[in-house]
Amino acid sequence: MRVGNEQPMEKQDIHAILDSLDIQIALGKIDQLTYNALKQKWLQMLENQPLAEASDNLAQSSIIAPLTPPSTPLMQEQKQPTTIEVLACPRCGAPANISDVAQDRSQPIQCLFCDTVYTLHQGQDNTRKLKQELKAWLDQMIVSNGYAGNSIDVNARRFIFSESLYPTLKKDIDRRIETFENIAEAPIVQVKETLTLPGYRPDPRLIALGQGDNQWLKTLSTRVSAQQLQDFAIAPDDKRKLQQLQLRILNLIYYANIAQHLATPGVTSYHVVRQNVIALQKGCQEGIEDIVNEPYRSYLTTLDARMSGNIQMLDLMISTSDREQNGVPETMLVQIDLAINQLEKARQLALTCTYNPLYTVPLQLGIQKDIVSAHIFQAIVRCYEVVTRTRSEEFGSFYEQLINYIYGLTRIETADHLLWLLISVGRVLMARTGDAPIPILMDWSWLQTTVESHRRTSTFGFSSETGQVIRQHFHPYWAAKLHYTEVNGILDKQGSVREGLLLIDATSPNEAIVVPLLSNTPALMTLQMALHNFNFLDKQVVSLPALLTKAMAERAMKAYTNQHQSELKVTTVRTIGVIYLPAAAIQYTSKKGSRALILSWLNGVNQNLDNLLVQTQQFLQKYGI
Amino acid sequence: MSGIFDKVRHTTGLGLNENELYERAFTRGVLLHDFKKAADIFQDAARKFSESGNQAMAAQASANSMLYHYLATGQTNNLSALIQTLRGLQQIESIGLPGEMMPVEPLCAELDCRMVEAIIAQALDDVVRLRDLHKLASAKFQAIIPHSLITYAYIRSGDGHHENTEERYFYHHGMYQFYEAMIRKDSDPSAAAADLSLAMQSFRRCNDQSWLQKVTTLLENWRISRTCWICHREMQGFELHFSMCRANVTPYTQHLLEVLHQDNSTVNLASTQIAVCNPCGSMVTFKAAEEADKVRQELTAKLEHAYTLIKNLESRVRQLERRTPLVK
Repeated sequence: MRVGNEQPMEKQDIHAILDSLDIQIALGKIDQLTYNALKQKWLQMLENQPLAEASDNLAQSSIIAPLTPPSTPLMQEQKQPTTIEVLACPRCGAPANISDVAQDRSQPIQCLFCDTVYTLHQGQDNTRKLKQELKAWLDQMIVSNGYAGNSIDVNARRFIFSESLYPTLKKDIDRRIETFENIAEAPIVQVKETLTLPGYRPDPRLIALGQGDNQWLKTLSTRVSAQQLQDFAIAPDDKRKLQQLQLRILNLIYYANIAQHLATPGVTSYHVVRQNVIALQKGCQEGIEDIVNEPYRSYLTTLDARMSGNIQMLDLMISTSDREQNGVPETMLVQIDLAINQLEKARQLALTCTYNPLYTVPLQLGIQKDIVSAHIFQAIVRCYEVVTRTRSEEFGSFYEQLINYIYGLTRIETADHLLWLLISVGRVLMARTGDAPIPILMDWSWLQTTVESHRRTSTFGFSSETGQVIRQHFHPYWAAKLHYTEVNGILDKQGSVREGLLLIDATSPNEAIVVPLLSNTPALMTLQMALHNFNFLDKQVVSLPALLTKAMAERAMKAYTNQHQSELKVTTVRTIGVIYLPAAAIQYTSKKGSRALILSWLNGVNQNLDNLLVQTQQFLQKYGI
Repeated sequence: MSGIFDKVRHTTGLGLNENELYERAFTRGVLLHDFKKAADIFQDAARKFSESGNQAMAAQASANSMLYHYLATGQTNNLSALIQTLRGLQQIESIGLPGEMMPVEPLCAELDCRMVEAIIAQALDDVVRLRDLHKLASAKFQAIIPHSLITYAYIRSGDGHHENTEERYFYHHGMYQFYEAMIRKDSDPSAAAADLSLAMQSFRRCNDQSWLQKVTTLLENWRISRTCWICHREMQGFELHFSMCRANVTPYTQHLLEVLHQDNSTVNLASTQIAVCNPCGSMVTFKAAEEADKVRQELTAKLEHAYTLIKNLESRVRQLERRTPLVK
């Protein structure tokens, strides 16, 4: 019996295989059906054996080639002790970059993907151990299929691959990687300030893998990339399936390295992360070429676009961290815009990607986090750009000052919250420097009357208070258009839609201060006009940043409308944006003592503003804005 | 005079024309959150529009009537007609807002999903049907993932997932994979475990802790393989294709397995149990039941014989007792 370019087996080999099959069935390692099928096959070969034996001389002829081609020996180490091995980093398992094979074995090699330094000797030792394990595993897999010896024909190899090697390997990989299926949800690039925020913390399990607690990963990596295994993947489809397993394992190695290095951000870490991102992108691009499945192809294209945006962002972060002298903020802003555009493109691709949502949804979330991180960096650079127009300032120092100021204002809950605070500070700065106007009500005419109306007076005027304006400031409020139902009639009730405004004090994250302005409120028209009246902020008056994000404000609005549903029957609440209203800190003094009060153009205002006002004033003064 | 007459008309709702009725449905129903009343008035308006030959407005009023009836009652029997009517329109008023229009396609798509969900609620224990329906629902929700949910704020789903379309997709996908696993478990436990793994990921995505826990436990069990103590075949699926049965096992038993290089996880010394596959286990159970039945039949026959004897003896005693007074 000849298959392709193979030579017939020895009779004793076939007997050995049949004996082996008997042992396998006795030990319960194979089922009866497999046993019957294999036994039948080998008995048939045995029957044809005399023919083969008779043609022993032909064994040396050119028609009959060795069972295992020399180029693809089954057990490479036995036949070619000096073979060139594909080395992997002993720590992370990523492929080593050995340019010169004859390199000195004691010379240090630096892993591009995890930054570990090791010698060629160590690398080879590690590879050898893993190969021994691989050999044992392969032997076990092959024997359990009823084969023995060093030579297995093409059909048998194909059979072993599809029936045993691939399913076993895939099952092992599926189970191991199962817990990491949401890997794409993690951000690839981030500043150190987001590291502790929910959803941005690098996965501790990935960090552990990156730190070397990854023996299973290296074992699977060795198995899936072994030449010995590839010799079994004969059909093009088998080769493709094996490549996909390789890609999954390698991707996990790269993601683990990224997580580990993101945990300690810095120039070196960004360099290492960049290498891993490039490797991930390369894997995607190579994969795209072979994929015929359009949804999966669109998934890989999205990943590729994401990696491009991340590489641009990493380049920028490396250059700003590396640079000792001041960076040019305008150039930095252009680079960030490019990176954000690329990430936005990836986000659009992810939204239209038709691949399984189990994988596309985490990818969408991951890209969104990358975009938020990029916007955080952009907001910092924008503030830096405003500050450096009038004075020289080192980027690193400004960065620290700005972050300290932001963290001093309130407890930051999410990355979106941090981003919003930076944007809000940036808006205040740009409105004060005359770059970008904001909706503002410049009306102080109410102040004296209101101060007076809050003054406590005694009957005979002996202990009456005197009110003094200590500090004026512009106070941020979130404004939303409110549609509600006004009910008329007693017996025949009918409703009509009315329009009003809901205002939320944007400096009170812990306790919502909500001011409704309904259709019959006199202040409504003034505010509706002010919302369209964009102005610059007065440099002499402190303007506070809005501490509440849009989502936080909307939560407060929702809670308010739910609470007042029976009376208002609210149909819609649509957020417009932040408006600045005049407010002032008043000191009332009498013989009995003194008290402080914050008064605003609206009735409701946060009374705990001391820290916010002081911190903001100091920050603005420091940078002369 | 006509002013008073108009006021009476509007107060009572009698004698209103189609446009007035249409407006009344909003002012007396929708805006007061009385959707049932709104549905009734829209129905009257639709009839009048139809009579006056304004078929476009008749369809719009009819669609609103069916929509608000559904939102008021949650009854799904008119959903098909509602979708059909909506498809004849370009846009319709946003729910609760008379002045704002919305395109009908997203509403139709969502109502289409709700129709499938209504059928799911009726397919109680039909696993194959449930699998197919959840698959269909997940595919329909997948197609509308970018859109916001429209009706779920008024009619909640019974499963607690009504925040967004994505959440509904993952819930149905998880359920589909779960039922797929249930169907495949008897023929291919590995494939069933793979299905459960996908279900687990979906339930995790929609944060369904109850199903997540259930599926995780099943998955852990179904992935376990043990060699049957009796037939020596490797079986996958704890409490599915094999179970651990009580037996007298000793350290010697375990030692024996080690010496013979056999699967020593087949025995558990601590709980004195051995792995037995379902065919072997059930065979023992059935055999035991058969033997017990034989014994029961034998004993029943003996008991019946004894009972007959007792009855005879009792009757003789009674006869003797009857004679005794005569003797006395």
